[in-house]
Order: sequence, then structure tokens, then C-alpha cells
Amino acid sequence: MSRTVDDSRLRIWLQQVAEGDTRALRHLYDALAPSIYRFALSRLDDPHEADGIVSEVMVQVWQQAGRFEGRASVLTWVLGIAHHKVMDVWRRTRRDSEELDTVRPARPLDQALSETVTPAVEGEHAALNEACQACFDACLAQLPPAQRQALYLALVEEQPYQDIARILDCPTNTVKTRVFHARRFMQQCMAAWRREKAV
Amino acid sequence: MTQASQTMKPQHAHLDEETLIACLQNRLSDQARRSVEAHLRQCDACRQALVDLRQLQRQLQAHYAAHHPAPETWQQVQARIEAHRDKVVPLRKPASSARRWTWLGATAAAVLFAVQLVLIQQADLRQQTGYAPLGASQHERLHIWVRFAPSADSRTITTLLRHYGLTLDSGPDSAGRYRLALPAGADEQTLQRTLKALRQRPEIAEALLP
Repeated sequence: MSRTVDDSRLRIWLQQVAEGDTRALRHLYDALAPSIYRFALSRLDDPHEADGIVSEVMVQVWQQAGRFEGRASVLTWVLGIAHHKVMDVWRRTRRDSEELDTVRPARPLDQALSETVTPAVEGEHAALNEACQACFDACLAQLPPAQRQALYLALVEEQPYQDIARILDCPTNTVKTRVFHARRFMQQCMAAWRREKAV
Repeated sequence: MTQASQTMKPQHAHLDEETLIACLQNRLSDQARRSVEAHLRQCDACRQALVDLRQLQRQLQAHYAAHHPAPETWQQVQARIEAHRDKVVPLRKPASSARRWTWLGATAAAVLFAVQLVLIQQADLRQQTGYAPLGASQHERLHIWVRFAPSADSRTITTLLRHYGLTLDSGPDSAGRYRLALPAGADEQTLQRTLKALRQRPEIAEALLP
């Protein structure tokens, strides 16, 4: 999603937050909370936990706005904070036994398709699009969380690889590898769905 | 701009993913863009890769556009910053690395010591009375009594409490209810909103005001 608020505006609000301005914090919240939430969701896949991350990150932004050094964009800085919070939740909860880069058990494509509207009701084209999106969602859910998160940052937040590496606290080559594998997996998963529809 | 896009590649080599994404998102310099466009005119595989990437980006954006933070999250942030209003870090130049680590170490040690002290005191008092102690600030906090559904496990309950900024204050009473404290500074409106939200949660069998 292209950013509706540019970085210079975010920096002004952040400076105002550092001076104790709660209205500026509200502006920052409106601009950044959806990104923080979706970023957390891309790893944790749990809306309640993602809400908790938004809350914690914004409180930390309020407390530590004065520590922003301006070496990266405000979004990169905030998502970096979010990443640490997400990983705390990840380690604390059931994920400690789950490998970050392991593909999850496949959700059968039939199941994804059966949850879509029947062509007779909504029209064949609309149903196909909906089925396609349902199948896309199913494929995305199977992606290893670390790859899904890198893909989210690259294609939804449109962050350069170097900034993704900064957010995820990993080498740029790891980002490249994760995005590459994520994209390949999604292509293969969707191709399998198309083959199934063609039969 | 990406490192990949800075490098002029031979026309026959395929474009790498980072360059294709940068191209898709208009992050290439003029020179790199001209080079990429020249390559795309000749290379069907890279053109197709770009089309596939654009499609993937659209589907991902459509998927995530449907997800938003819960409306009450801002209220939680407000309540929590009210509690921390005096702890805002003033705008200042960054400390040197060595000083920062010394400061962090000292703070961490102090926090750990304070937490341990409180935990020990609470454990003692709980042992004596069966209830958690109330701090001075907790006397002013608003409370809700809840009975958790039998299916709610400890992890779910912990997540739920964190989600609404609640802390387990005391309980269970003879009816199996726990007293939950709202964040310091939470007002009557937040209390009613939280109560209403809790009553809709499957993890909560019953939610009452004291």
C-alpha cells in the first residue's frame, strides 16, 4: 500500500510526541497503526495479539520518541520496535517449537474453494475472483511466517530490502532469500489451484 | 534505491527480484530505469516476472487491506500513556554507545531488583491472605469481576488481559470470579466499553461491575 503520509510529516509528529503532544501521537497512531497491526498479523496470525502489539508499540513510541535518531524512516524505526515485540510474543507462546521457515501443513484447496460463493448465486466471474482470493489467502496461510513477513514488507509496505533487513534485524541476503522463496511458493501454490480448476 | 538497480547488468542477464520490485514501486533512478526498460523490451521472461509480481502485490494488498486494529486499541494506548505521562523521554542527542550500555545495564538491574522485591512481597501477602496486594495506585483503579469460560486456558486468558490492558487483581471468589483492574487513569466510559467487549468474548462466561 502506498503511504498516505510522507516521512517528513511523520518526523514532525514524532518530534511533537517527544515534547508530550498527545494529539501528535493520535496522528502517528492513525498513520502507523494499520501497518504495525498488519505487520504483526503477518507473523503471528492472531488479531488479538496483533492488537496488543499495536498498543505496546505506540506506548513505546510515546515513551521513547526522543530517542529516534533519524537514521531510518519513522516507519522503519516503528516496525523495528514492533518486530522485537512480535518476537517476544512468539518466543513466549506456542511458537517456540515451530520453525519460522517451515511450510505449514497444507490447507486443502477444496476446503478453500468450498468456502466461496457458488457461481449460480453471484455470477461465474465474481465467484471465480472470490475463489481465487480465497485460494490466495489459503496459500498465504501456508507460507512460513518469516517468509510471509518479508513478503509483506517488500510488497505491501514497499520497503527496500536494506530497510527490511534493518526491521527484521537480519542480513539483506536473508531478506532476498525469504522473498524469493515466498514468491516461488505462492506461484506454485496458485498454479496448483489453477490446474485444479482447469481439470 | 536498491543495490541491484545501481549495477548495470549485461542485457542478456535476467533482472533480479530486488530490481523488479524496485521497478514496480518506482524506486529506480532514471539511468537504472532506462536500462531496465531496455532489458524488458527484449526479455519475455522478465516481462512476465514483472507482470506476476504486480499481480502478487495487488493480491497481497487486497488481503491486508481488509485487516485493521480493533477500535478500542487507541483507548488502550491512551489509558496506558496517561499512566506513563511522566516517563516521556525528552528530545535529546543520542548518548554515546558506551554511555548508553552503562545506562541500560544500570536501569535493567534496578528494574529487575524492584520487580523481584514486589514479587516477593506479593507472594508473601498472597500466602497469608489468599489475595494479591493492592498498591496505592490500584486503590483508585476501576475494576470488573469476571468468570472465565471453562474452555479458556491460561494462554488465552493472558492474551485477553493484555489485549484490554487489564491486570488480575484478586480471586477467585466463592463463585469462581476474578477481580480485574483496568489500566490506571481509565474512566467510566472505558470501563463500560471494556465491560461490553468482555461480555461478547467467548472466553468470558460472566462479566460484572463490583
